[in-house]
Amino acid sequence: MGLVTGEIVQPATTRFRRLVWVYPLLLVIEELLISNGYPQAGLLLLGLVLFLCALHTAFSSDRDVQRFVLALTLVPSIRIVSITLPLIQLPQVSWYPLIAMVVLFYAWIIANTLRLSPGDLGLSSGNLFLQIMLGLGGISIGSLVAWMIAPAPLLGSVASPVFWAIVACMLLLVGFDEEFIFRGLLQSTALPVLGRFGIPFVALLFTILHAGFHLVGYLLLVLLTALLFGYIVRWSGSLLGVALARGLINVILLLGIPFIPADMMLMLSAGSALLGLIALGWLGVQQRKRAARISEQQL
Amino acid sequence: MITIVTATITEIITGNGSASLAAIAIAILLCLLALRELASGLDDERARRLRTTLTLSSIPLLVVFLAEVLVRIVGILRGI
Repeated sequence: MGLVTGEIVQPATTRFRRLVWVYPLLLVIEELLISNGYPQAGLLLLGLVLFLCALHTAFSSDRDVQRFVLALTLVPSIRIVSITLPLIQLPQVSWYPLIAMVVLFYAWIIANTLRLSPGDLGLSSGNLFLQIMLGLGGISIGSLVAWMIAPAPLLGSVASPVFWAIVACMLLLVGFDEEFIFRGLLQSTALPVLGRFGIPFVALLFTILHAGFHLVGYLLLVLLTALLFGYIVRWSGSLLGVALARGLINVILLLGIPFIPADMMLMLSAGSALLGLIALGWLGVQQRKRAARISEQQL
Repeated sequence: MITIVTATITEIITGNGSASLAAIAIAILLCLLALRELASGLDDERARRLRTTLTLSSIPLLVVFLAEVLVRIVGILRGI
């Protein structure tokens, strides 16, 4: 099943399909435990979630549910890897690519096991110009998030010898990694199970993994952005734009903010927001034309 | 919308409980592998699916385990 289709068909609900809604609930409890100083209890809960996923896949006779729940094991695995890899002796700036590589390796194994094609995963360039415009829109989201949470920069100076290597890594690896998992793998397996609730479900999971910040406004922004990214990938059939946007958000938040003058940041944000909105409008028009073509063919 | 590992990683990794977290992760890995072995004694479709999911779920934990072993070995070699 490719990512691009005219409309999402709502599948019949079964007991095993409804059961997938238990996982966000367990993950909320786990994230709250971890972020409130009980990481050991949170980790045990993550182990339980993995075990429940295994039982769910085994006892459900619905192939779509089996595939989706297997892909869902990625979510607890991301958190397990991120809190248990022994990284303390390495500089903090190296943690992100190392964790991203482990998670990407696991995601690649899952995608291969599920025999998902590059088209299913959104691994196509699509309309390259449109995707780059959508990606640049990430600058405005990044500056909005920076204004909300003001994260500490990872490096003290642009002159650092590793600065540009880390920028490239954040842009190409960390952004792509998370979008590949959520908007690629999870979304493509969620849609046959949850139909029109597939994209909101994946956006909810994504937001839950940000719960450690304890800021309602920020979580709302994450949820809206995840929903927007989900529909962009669904309509455009490509991860390129959203992966570029995520990479730019991370670069701005973790590396760029202290080195960019405030007035320049404001201009960059306004320009990128405008570009993003034009690209979204363009995508909307394309999607409307595609939907009209499909309904004409059906008639 | 910062990378999802950031939300908790800094305070956990730099906190005091990081060694016990690795121990719990290894205990979870052992549990998953033990259950996988139990499931391999059964010979039906459900047991096969259970085995597959348990095997795949243990991969990230196995990476954590190997990294922990590597760090310990490096630590010992540095001490010599």
